[in-house]
Amino acid sequence: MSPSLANNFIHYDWSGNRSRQNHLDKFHIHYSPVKGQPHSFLQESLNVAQQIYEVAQAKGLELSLLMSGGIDSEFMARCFLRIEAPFKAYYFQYQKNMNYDRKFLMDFIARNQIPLEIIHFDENIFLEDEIWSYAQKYKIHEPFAAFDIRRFETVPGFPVMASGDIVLEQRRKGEITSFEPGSLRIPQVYLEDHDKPAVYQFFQYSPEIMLAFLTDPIIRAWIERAERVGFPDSRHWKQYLFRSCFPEIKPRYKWTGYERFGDLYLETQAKLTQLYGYEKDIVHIPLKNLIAQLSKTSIN
Amino acid sequence: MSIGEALSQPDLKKLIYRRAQQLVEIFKGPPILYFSGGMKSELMLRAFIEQGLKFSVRIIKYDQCIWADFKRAMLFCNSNNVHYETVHKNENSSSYLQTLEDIKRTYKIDNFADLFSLEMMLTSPPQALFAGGLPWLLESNGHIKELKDTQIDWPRINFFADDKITNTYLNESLIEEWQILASFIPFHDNKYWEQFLFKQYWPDLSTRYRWSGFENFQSYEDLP
Repeated sequence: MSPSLANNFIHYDWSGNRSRQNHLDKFHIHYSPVKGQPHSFLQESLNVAQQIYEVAQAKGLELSLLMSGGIDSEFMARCFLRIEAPFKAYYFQYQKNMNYDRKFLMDFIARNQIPLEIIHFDENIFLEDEIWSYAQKYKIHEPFAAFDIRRFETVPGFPVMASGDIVLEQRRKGEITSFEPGSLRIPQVYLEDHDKPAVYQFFQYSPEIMLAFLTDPIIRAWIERAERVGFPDSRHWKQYLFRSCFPEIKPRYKWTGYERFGDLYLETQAKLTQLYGYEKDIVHIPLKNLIAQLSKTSIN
Repeated sequence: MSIGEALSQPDLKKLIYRRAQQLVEIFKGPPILYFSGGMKSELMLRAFIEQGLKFSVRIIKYDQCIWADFKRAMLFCNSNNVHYETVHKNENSSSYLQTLEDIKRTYKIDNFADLFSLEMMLTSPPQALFAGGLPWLLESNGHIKELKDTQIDWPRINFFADDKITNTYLNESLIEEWQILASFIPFHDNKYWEQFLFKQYWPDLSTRYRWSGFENFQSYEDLP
């Protein structure tokens, strides 16, 4: 069992012989259903923070939160602050920064007197050269997976990344889907391969946090309006769920954050797609199936 | 709103079209449309293109612009066979920063977005047309505040600064729905929703993720 997956809710298997050739096809992550009615999204997020803190403590490791200045990592950090778990923040400073994200982060760090380490990183060298060894080893089709692996390699202690937030999408009119839990597995495979204690997907750490998100009134308000208004995805609304938990949180206006790297990122992505296929690591499932899977109830 | 009122409501798209026609008359010739790649400046271009009105385009390129917007602006022009000039601005240069300081003193403003907009206007020719002027709704502690550009006597014309457009915009059902939901959600502002209002009229518009467009500048301090 990978240390990053070591909790009572998430299991993985290799479905038979583990083969380096197509290891990703055989790496499955399973989520147990919730044990009962989830609490609020905030409460479930605090529970996740508490569980992660206890795992890190048991291993005698310092919590290392990877913070980008984005809203997900700020929300996660606020959860650890709320439960009074000490941590150190790590920020990757790129050649092309999103200055407003950086300002959000520095403001947050200063207000809360959080120890911070800035890691300087040249994304041009990484995208032009270094990414290819990761890509070959892990059959990476999207540059961000390689960035995530590099972050885990760089950050000491018990790194925690605020990824795995559930994004609801309206891919066709009236058809709302989500990534299947356990999608974006490549960095998980890296963690398992290296027996590295870390958490990759804070927002998928328990079935309760996922179900609490999906059933929150603000997310339900998005679902109710998505078709009529034409909202393509729930990213923007998620920020207001976070703000309802911590009113000091300010919304951001960005996509994933990788858009700052411009053409070089897209060119690298195109080459990777040519080599290793498109969205092989992402499976979309209907929202009602996800809710049923998490709650083990019949949803009509 | 009664059925009668609803029927008498002007169509926002028609008003935007009419505004473009009026501005051609006011300018007594083709205006120069300043295009950031944002949705509102794209709408302004569309109003001219779709009516076959004459205009020219300048795309603003800052050193630390929002890359996706700049690219979108070029792609939009290319796909519509619109010739454009690129105006390059180095917002970190000492001469640019000095200009900002001068504007700040002269106009007595410290809002960064206004400063950048003013600099752009003051260095543009008189027939330049900008895509400002729509009200901006902010939610704060359960109250909705309406911000307008009118605190400043803008030296150039803002395309959307038109009372009929403003009133119609504020009465659009989507904007009203935003106001009703704003305190419950709690939304910060209506910028994201506004895009879906315009998508009702121009369904092929793509959604943007940005604030004023100036937020990536090193000197920008006016975080939303």
